Amino acid sequence: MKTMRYISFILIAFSASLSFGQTWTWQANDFYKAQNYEQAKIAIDSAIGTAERYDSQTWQLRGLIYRNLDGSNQLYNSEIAIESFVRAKKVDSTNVYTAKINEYIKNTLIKNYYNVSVRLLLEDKNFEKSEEFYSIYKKHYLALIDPMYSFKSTDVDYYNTVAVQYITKVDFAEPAKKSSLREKAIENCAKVLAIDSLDYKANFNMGIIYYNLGADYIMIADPEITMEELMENQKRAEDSFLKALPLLNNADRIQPGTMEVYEGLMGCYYGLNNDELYLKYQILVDKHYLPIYLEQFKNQPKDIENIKTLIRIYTYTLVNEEEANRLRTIINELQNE
Amino acid sequence: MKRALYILIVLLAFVGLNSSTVKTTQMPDTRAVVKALYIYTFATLVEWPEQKRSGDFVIGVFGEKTSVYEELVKKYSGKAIGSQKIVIQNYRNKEAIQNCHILYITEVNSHYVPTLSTQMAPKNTLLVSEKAGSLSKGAIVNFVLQGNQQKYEINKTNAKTHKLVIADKLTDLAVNVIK
Repeated sequence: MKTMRYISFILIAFSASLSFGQTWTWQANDFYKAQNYEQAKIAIDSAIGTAERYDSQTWQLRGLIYRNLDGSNQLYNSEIAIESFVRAKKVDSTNVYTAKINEYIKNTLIKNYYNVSVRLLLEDKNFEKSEEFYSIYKKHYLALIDPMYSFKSTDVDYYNTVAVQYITKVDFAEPAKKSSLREKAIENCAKVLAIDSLDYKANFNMGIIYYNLGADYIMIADPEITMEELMENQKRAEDSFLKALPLLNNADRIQPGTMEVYEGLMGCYYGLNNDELYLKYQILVDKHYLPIYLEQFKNQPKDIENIKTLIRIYTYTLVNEEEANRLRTIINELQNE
Repeated sequence: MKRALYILIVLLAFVGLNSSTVKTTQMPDTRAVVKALYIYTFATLVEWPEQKRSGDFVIGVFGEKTSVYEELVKKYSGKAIGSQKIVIQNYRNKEAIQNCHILYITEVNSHYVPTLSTQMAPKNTLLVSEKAGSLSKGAIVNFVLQGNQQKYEINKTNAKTHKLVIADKLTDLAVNVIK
């Protein structure tokens, strides 16, 4: 009843306005400018039921109104907006508005599809829905704006981001769901690599996903594991580390000297019990971080874990027996305190 | 004259994607975990003489407090093998080594294997080492690498000297068995 009264009120209001010579389109425009999109929608839908539908501007305004409508029918409203702009172009027989309408379409695609897909991905973490919006964005862009447009770099950015989002979810997921999330992340990295096999992020991310997967076979194994299970887990870990290596080596070739790649390679070779190559990367990593550990020692001389790290470095990688012995004495004193 | 609607074309910006790279956590010590898991499975596949089947089940680590020791403590301290509560001990010198069921000797201390073999035989201790050639010096189980994986080898003669019965499964899965 309340709704009926509300609708009646709106109709009376419109009738009153129209009686002073305003068209439905102008009425809708006033509501639109006042950001009252729901009432603008009612007015513009009335406009297309009259002769105003032969005016391109009516359809343009309808597109603008629908693209601003909020609520649960966002995808439906966006589709109506796009349809309206397409209709606006058709009605515009002299092509006066072509450039302007194209701009509307482009902006609508960015606002209502691309940006929504990014928000769904980064804020709502609704990856499936995000991919749906992203795919419609591309479809419309090719059909309505530029059939030759290359989405190569956009796809690379998008799928790399999807991969990272999936993998971020792994940390908080129940153990049973971890593997499917990792698979999804790998799938998205593979999409990027199919577009550009030399993309650093996709190579690195996929490498690290395989590395983490390998490490998990060992690190989260049931402590009461049987001998057969332990051997099977080692085999699986080995397979994953071996899958990670070529990807991380690619990343190293694409962007040489990157510490995160060295750390990944170091972890793989350590897990594969390859001491020679493990040490090669551990030395590079230690050289990079030594100043930080020394600074930490200066500021926190009783940080035992940091001293242990320094002893390891001076004993195995950047050998300095004198320094290692001095630190051993310090750690013994600290442990006896 | 047709009036033009005043509609602003607002230039919309793309919302930025943040396709950063995946972060790896601090490199986990997978090797230490594998060895700790092996040591536990050895405990389940060896039979100790009657007098060692009551009281605590002691797993000793001879050497500095390595990651293997830390993993053993983390995974097994306070748990049980059968009815025996698992206790993890660290020994810095061989004189301190008492009555333990399993003694893991770190690579740095592997030169002590012959002495410890004599010292621990009457105590029925399973000596586990990690240096090539240790089986011929008195170790019962020795960690070895096969390809990229951590495996182990066994000396059944040494096991008999320590009055330990090795399960067939443990022997079958070893890469090398000295009978």
